[in-house]
Amino acid sequence: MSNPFEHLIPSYVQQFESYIPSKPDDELKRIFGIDHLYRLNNNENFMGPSKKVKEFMQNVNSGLIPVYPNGDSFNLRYTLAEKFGKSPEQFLVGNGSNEVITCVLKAFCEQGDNIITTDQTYAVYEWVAEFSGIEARLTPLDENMAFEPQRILDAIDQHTKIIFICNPNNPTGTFWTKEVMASFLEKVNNRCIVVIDEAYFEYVEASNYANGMYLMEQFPNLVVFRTFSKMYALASLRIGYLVASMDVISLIRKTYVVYSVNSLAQMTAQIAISDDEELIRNTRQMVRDGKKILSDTCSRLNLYHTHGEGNFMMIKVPVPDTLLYKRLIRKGYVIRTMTGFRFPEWIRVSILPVGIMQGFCESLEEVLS
Amino acid sequence: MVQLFQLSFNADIFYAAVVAGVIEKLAVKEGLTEIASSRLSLGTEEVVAYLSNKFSGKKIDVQATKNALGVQIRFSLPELFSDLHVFNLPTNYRSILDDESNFNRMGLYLAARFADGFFIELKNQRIEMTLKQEYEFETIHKMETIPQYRGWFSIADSNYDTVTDACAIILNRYKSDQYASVVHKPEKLWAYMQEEIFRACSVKDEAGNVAGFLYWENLSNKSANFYGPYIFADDKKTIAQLLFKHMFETIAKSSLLAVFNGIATSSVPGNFFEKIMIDEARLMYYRQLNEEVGMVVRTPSILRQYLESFYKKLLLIRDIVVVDEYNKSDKQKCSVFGIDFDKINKEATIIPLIDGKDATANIESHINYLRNENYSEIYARFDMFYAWQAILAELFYQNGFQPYLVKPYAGQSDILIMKFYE
Ligand SMILES: Cc1ncc(COP(=O)(O)O)c(C=O)c1O
Repeated sequence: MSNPFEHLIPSYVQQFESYIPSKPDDELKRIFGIDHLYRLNNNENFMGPSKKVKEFMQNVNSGLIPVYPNGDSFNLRYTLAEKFGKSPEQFLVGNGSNEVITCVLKAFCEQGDNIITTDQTYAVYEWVAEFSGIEARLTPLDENMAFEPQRILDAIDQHTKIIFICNPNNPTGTFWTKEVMASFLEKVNNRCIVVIDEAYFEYVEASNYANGMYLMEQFPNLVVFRTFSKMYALASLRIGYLVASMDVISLIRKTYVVYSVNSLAQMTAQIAISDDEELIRNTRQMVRDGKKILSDTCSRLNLYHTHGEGNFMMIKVPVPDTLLYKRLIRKGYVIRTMTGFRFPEWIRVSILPVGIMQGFCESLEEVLS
Repeated sequence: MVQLFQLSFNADIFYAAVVAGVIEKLAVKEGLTEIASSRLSLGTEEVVAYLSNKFSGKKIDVQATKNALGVQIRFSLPELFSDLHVFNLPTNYRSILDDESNFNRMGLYLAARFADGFFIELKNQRIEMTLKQEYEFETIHKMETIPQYRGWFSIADSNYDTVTDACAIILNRYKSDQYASVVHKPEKLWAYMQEEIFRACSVKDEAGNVAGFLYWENLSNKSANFYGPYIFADDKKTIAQLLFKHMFETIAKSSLLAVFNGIATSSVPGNFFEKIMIDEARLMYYRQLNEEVGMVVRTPSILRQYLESFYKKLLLIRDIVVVDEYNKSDKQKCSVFGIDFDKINKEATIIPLIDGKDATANIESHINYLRNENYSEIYARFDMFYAWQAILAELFYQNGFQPYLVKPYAGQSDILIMKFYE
């Protein structure tokens, strides 16, 4: 039956396919008849937030609840500014970095404009563009599954408003070095906005990684996204932010609907960012150990896999990703299928502590044999 | 789809010839052959005359459209529940057998015979009937000498020439049960591609010779059937991988949830599909595109076991709700079934549109009708989301239909196909 209200929406919304998120854990446990479930699908930090954050959470004052949060995360912006040596006005905090993606797009694009990103990256840039009636130009990754600068440069025209670079890239873990990024930005030459999504920044160990926060001083068209959902383990609070030059942020702020970030998230993020050394150190160690086990298992099973940055790995599998999903979830492990990322032969696995990765590797071996 | 004209009138036999005349001229102008145009015109006349006879004075909307395949005429009128039985083709057919002289009652039955396609649907509380007539598409011959392939293989644009070459080579290289009849007419395959009913991908060698071809047909916005892969060079494995990888990348962000085999050749790569023996003789290739989340399906108890074993093979989670009981007094008096005809292969699929108290008799009359029309394979299709369709499935079962296949995610929920056995 066709929908009697369909004619009311724009054709580009009609064509858009809404994303259906995974069901909650207790529901998945019920339908698959399992008593435990490890999520290796969302790139969360299994270790949880820092000690100070946990302490704060235990003593949360319920008096917060009836009062509106600060409308533009005032205190948090000051803390961020201090940490990164910038001005508080350069930060815009959103309900997850997903919200700030929408802000940037709404601020710069109208119908007829385009954005450029790659066809095998975090999907939200493409989605928001599509359901806003903006063309998403998707250039292919290179043979090492990394963003390919020249292809992106070639795709720019006078209607290009934003380029989204996911660095390191989710799901491939590839990244651009300082040199590659700087040379790219020079060639873009302020013709459009360049967004670097650094959602996995805190996981990066490579010393030649292009840190957008620094490059911004030199390239005023740069916008950097960061999130508290990944390393800081605050995913359920939905908080992320962007940083940009004064000129650019003053434009983006126009499309930001204030009060979207709740008080608890603002306060927790402030504590998290002020006390992150131990968390980052321990989490990176966990990821290193977990990757080693997974990588060794893959090598033993002759499975081609990535060696990128970030708390995840991609594995090329000899059976459909969705079949593997069905087999592994019955053993208590949820993986991310990659067909939807245009990687029909791969799965993505988030890295959890060693004990769990060991169990996962055994299950992987079992379901593949 | 381009709209050619739209017209509304109050049903009256007077309009039958008038509308038919307009359609004929229009069809010729739009490039249908004279024979095809007069078939469409005759079909139109039959439908209008029939509707005028049955629903005199009721407002009928007629819309003519064209697409790359041909011209379509759509008749639509509000759902008229009391008289719905007249939309069953066999009802028409019976009335002819009962009374040869009663020509103006042959209506829909004749229309269905005249046109290349005829189907009935219920949409937004309206009954819609569509007559389709296709352009004439050229039949090609097989390619006599296959190119000498050299160098690297890569995915290439599937333009018209590529599609035509691929079809010509398939005709040379593959047995006729390995391809669909449309391969004889690449112009038609191309027209389907223009309409995005089919999509295709090809692999070429360095010299630009087509070395591999795969196409798929969107069955609904959730499921597709693939045909192939057709591989002409020696490096079958590489080419098959390239084709399927490309196909899945193409459909990755679409609404599709499942891909099945329409006609699968022996080169389907194992890493892309789940391979399930449906029974001793039949193999199904299945690729799920979403992460399994489970679903409710409704079934009569008689089919429960079949479903359970099917779902077990595919590791699908289903809440199987048995719906033997339901309130008979809620039923309409008359059921309506549509028929999806495959005139070339003489296969037909009965599609329940409305359940009714006369359903058993209606199933019988559909079977008789289709057998008399020499349809050798008769199927019926049920969306197991709907309790009323599940109930109907039981009646079909009692009347000689056996479960044949389940197509996961192919409808609102899974689609159950049943097949008629004498
Ligand atoms: C690259 C990338 N950007 C942004 C996000 C979304 O982050 P947030 O939770 O802050 O909305 C994710 C989450 O998966 C991500 O992988």
